[in-house]
Amino acid sequence: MIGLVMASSPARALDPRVAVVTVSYGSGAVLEGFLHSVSAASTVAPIVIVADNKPHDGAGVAALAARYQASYLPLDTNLGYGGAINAAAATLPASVEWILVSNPDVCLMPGALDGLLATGNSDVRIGSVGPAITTSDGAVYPSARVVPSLRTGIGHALFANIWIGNPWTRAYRNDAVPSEKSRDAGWLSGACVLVRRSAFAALGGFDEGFFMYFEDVDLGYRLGKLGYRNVYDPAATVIHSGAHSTTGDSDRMIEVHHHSARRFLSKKYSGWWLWPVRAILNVGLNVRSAVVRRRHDH
Amino acid sequence: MRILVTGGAGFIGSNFVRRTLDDAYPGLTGAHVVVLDALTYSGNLENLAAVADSDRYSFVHGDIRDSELLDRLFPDVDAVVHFAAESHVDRSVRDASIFVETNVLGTQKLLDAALRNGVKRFVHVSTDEVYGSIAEGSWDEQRPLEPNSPYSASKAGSDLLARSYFRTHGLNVSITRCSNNYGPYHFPEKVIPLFVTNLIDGLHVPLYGDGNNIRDWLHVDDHTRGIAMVLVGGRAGDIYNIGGGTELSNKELTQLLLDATGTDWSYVDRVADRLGHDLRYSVDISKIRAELGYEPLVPFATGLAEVVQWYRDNRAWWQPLKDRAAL
Repeated sequence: MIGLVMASSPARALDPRVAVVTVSYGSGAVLEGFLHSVSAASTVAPIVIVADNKPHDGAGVAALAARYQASYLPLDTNLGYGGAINAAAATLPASVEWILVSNPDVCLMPGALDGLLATGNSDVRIGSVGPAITTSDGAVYPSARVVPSLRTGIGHALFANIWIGNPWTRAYRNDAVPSEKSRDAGWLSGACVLVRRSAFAALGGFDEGFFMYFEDVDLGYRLGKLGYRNVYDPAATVIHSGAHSTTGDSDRMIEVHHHSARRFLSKKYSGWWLWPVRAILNVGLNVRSAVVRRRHDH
Repeated sequence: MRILVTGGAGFIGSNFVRRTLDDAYPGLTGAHVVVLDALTYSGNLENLAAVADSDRYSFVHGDIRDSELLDRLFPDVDAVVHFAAESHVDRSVRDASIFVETNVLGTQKLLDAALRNGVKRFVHVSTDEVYGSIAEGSWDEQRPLEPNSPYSASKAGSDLLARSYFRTHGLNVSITRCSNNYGPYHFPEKVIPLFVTNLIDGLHVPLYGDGNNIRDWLHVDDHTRGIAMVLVGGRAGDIYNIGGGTELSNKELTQLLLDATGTDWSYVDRVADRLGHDLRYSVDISKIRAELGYEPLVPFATGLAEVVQWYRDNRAWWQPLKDRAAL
């Protein structure tokens, strides 16, 4: 059990009902911006935990966490994103009702956390709330998507990189709905999402079989299937500067991405009578992975 | 088989859903379950988290009084198991209106929808409280109904409606009447979870009157198994009592809970008795035993110990519910 302390200036009262959990993987360069933004994102001080999947790389993560009065959770092995979030969530006190799960290369805009909490508390059926996520240059990232069906999933996988605006990708990304409009979604990007703690705990947290990628698709799908709503609330905004911790390892990330896609589809289409569907998807994903890797190598 | 379970996110309904999807019941193996639940204060989706991954489970948020919704759902349904109800007696004493609306009107809407859509089987889940209080012996299913609280009166009304749909329209409906349930996922306003969660936190518990009121305690696993037996093998138009076989006064129950939590009578506050508080309930389960082979299988001592441990282990489940309900 790690100690839990206030991650803010003394002017803000600790709210033991709210926690912010992030995962570092050599993320020292971006973590300070994140921790700083947390303190302006809410009128109250949440419990903050930094889980560290790479605690021996000298990134100064522990010191940064201490500076911002966040708890530091070094992990002996790299548990992946979902695994690290689960490990951190397991240390939270029972008082926590909402967990903001966030990448460390995210910057919360002032009031963003308060806005997400207000939306989450407006309906007991809301299991997760996601903000508008913009890139550093202001473009809105499609963070509130539908759960991929066979049709949209295959179309998106085949054409997303070669046919901009293909109908399957547009459907998957919910492009027809204006990004400034609040709505229910199939899943919300795990780059920054507020999750109802009791629902998260009841589902066993993120599926740790996803090392990276698709753990958020899977969580949103399971929340929705259980009966919870995943709500996109663009009144709250965060800036996501990008996948900083994976850029140096792209080949492996392509492989991990496809492995996760395979795992999600196998879970979604799990009935024994769907084995032909799983077999075809498996072959398709293997081919796609090889093609994407070759293109990347060239 | 495709079963629509009303109130399937509640304490008893969710147990039935979990165990059905776990293929625990002969005759229901492989059944698909559609949960219809309004998610009022005691409905909780987390009760169903264990089956969220099942491709035989789906959830619909809605009200049993919404006939249009029922007409959209019922054409694909083979059977209805109707748990949805307002069930807390104290709340019915304060305001009976929602009890009449949900328990009586809601049941009528369901029965009508079942009739319109040709649903083949309907089980209406009720309570032994419709019989009223009994000083000695046990009620059998022929006992006239003498409910004493607005809650039990509303359930008696719904029972009689269900019976009338068999007599008048030939709807294949059976009625079950259970004694007091206990088990995991029990909403913490009810006596056992309220006492357990208070006592493990070192808080006081309220004991009504002299504590001599007697209840028969039924583990929820036994109850839902009995319901499944009635669903599969019960006769149309018939009523089946389901009991647990452990009669305890509230004082005796309190002593067991104090023992289980390592506390004593200094944690018990005597409070004024509940209005219309029935002295004793006791059901005769000879009929379901003889006709369907039902027996309560969970010994009370074992079941209670497991429940106490479950509440110790699952604070994340009950604490938000207590906070939200200001219990």
